[in-house]
Amino acid sequence: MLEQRSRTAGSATAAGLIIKIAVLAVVAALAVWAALPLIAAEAWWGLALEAAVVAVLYYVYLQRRAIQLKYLVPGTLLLIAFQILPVILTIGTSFSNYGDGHRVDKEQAVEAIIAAGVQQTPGGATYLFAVGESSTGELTLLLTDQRDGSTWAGTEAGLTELDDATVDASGRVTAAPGYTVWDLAELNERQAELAELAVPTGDDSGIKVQGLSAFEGTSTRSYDEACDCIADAATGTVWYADNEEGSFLTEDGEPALVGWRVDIGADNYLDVLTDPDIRGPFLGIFTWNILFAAGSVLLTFAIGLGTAMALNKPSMRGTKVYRTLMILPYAMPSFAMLLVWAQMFNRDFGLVNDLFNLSVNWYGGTWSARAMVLIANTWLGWPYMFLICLGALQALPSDSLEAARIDGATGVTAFRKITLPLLLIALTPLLISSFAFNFNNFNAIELLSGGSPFRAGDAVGGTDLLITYAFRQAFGATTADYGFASAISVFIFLIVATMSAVMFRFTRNQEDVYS
Amino acid sequence: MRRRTLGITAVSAAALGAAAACGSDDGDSAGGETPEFSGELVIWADETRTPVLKEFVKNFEQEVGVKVTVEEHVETLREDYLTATEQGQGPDIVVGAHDWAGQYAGAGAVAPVTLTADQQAALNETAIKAFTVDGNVYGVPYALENLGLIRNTDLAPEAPATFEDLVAAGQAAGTDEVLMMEVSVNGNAYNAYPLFSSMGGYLFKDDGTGTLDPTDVGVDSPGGIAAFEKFAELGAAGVLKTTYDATNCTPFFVEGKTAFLISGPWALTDVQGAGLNYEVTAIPGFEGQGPAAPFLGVQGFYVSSKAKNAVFAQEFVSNYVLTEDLQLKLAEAGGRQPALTDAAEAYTTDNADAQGFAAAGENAVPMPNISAMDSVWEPFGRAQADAIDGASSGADAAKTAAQTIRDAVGA
Repeated sequence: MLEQRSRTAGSATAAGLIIKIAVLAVVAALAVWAALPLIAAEAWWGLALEAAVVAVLYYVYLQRRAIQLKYLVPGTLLLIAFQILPVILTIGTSFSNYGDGHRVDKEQAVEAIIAAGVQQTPGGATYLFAVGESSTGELTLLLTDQRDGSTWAGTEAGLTELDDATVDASGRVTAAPGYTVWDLAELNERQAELAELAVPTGDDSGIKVQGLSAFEGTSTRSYDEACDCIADAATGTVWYADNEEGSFLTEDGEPALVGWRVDIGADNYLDVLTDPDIRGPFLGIFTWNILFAAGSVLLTFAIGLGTAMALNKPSMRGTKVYRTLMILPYAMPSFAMLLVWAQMFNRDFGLVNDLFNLSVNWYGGTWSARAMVLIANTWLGWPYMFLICLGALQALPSDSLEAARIDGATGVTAFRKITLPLLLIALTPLLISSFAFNFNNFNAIELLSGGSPFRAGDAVGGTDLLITYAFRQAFGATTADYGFASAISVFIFLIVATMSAVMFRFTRNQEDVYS
Repeated sequence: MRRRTLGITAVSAAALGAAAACGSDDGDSAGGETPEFSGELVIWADETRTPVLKEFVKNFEQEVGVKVTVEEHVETLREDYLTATEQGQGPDIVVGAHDWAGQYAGAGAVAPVTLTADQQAALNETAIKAFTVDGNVYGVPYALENLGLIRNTDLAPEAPATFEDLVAAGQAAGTDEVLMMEVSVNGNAYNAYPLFSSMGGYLFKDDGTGTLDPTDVGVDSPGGIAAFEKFAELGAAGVLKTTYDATNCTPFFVEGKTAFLISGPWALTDVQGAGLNYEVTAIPGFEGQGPAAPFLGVQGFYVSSKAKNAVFAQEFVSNYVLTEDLQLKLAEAGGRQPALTDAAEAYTTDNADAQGFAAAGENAVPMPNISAMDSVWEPFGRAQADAIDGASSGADAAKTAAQTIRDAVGA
């Protein structure tokens, strides 16, 4: 049976075949386009992965048996790419100290610290430079002293006076006997070779190239693999590598400017769980986070349902006009609306206080700020509830309501015993997803209150959600700490996943009751 | 993210001349041919500077003969650059504020730049200090900006000599508000700093050479506490309000609701557009106290530590950026004072606004570029907001902020 179906599906119409060929051709084109940079970067694992994905796609759409796969594969690939991969990367980051001061690997950190130790020799000469290549391929710096215009040839043996050089108007050497002088393009392309050419001018000083000029400088720092340390000969400072912290430290524990990224195990998670400075606010934010999400859902649902019931009454007139007006808050971009609301709650110049003749410092108090975000979020969210409630109300079986009426249930009783339970069967999954959305409603908080009110000394504001708190840890005004922010994100992920799972189970039980 | 690229199709004969001059002696005359460069110098800048830079890189393209692309990054330039550079996909040069230097150097994302003694002498000394981290210069400055006092000369004819005079004149003007200065609900350390410094407060101790000690936090020094008490006092008097924020400061001044506005050169476009009679002067200090020193913000060019065209990038920042002509043009386009002293003189001559901001910046200190500064903004701002709102006394606010900063810095 299955085989039969697949055969009919496989030998589709000519149009279907053309579409299939076209789509697979696009896949092939995209694959080639993506492969070129991977080859250039010698990312063989990435290339293998890409080849595997393309092979899977071709296999699935060119075979005739497994029809289900044809529907599942695109969705699964996208799910892996955009959902599962980010979660895995976030979890990976949460076990590291990735953040400001720990962004690069150790090798790059060593390079940066040593580069910072290069100083121009006081009173040393500055040069315009060109590069000359001898017939045997040896490189020589052709230098023009900017003070007196004298020309020099710099090799690994040191500087020697260069005679008979041709210079241009600025004094730069353009030709010298025995050398092929590089042009700019060659210079830019082959700068890596140049970096290996050390031209000493003294015991620890040499010619340092910078751009198209050069200067006499001293490199005072060096890395010693034996002690895994960097020593500064000029100041006598020695930084020892601390491979657990990812920093070079002096004996007094002073870190060097640049650290590197290391795996720190579960430290970020332990911080969240054990540090009272973090644990306290975490519980506080968590409680408010649930309050905010639950409050937003309840308020929007109550108002949405109320207005939907009002408009659903047969005796109601002008419903079209009302409906259009009510959709407006939902139709406008919430970004702009939230910024407008933020201005309306200004204590001295805001519309809300002006209109009601109040003097509430909305942003100042914890509960006034919470009321503020709930009010604004309710305004933005209820048209959605209104829409789905109206749809669900119109789909209610009229016989149940009529039977209730015949049995004498009217008004509140009919609503409580018949309408609401019937509605909830249809709407509970939507309410749960609305809860999950508001649990992570970053925009509403960040654009409206920014987490305020903050008391001096607190890292957490009165209206902060877990997600806004995590965001500030990672990208806020304070020093970026991606590792810690990732750990918080993983917590949020676990919390939302658990709550959603529990609630969906609850819904399933509820459906069993009513069906 | 919006990105624009500049397509350069033709390179002029002058460029070829320059390229040939530095070029080979193998008899191959390059005249008339476009040099084939595999590389392309890429610069990232924010939305206000990109259009200006696009004009100016053309000269460099012609002089050196390398293609230069300026890409615009809106809002998140600072972070974008770090992330991209880590991945090896960053630009050769990034244009940014000097206070990024600490973070960038700490991340190993920028390369030190060595300026010759002559070049250093030609530049504003503070501007170089601003880009110095651990004794190395990491960026080449081109423009300076600082806060000043913008005064509606119809409402307040005389420039106030002290902050007390300012308050009195603001009240006498009979306007709704005495003074507009951005505070906002979470405070604003940048705008608060002039008044803070006038009372003798400091953020980190300066060892006298411009190097700051992140372990010596001065927010709760006697001067710092006095400053926060002033904030509380001014808040109680209704001179400073946490409801003054970025959305209403300039508009209220433009609408004549106040005689005074403490703001920077960026506010002038709106003020001029309104056709007000105004003057820019220094922010006055409190009576009997020190001058009100604003933060100096310096814009400059950083060279990436992973620049693919390091030769051209270094050449661009260390020689081309430091030409008087370029700095003058950038200044005129951006309304900021050039970092080259000669260019600054040329720019401020016959420019009353520029003179006003220059006068206001006479005592300016560079905004600290050490990464410890990242831990200052929030606590300081919130303490200022608390003091102004009366949520805590000035002294308490200062002490709490100082403690939070010390905890964060690890001092």
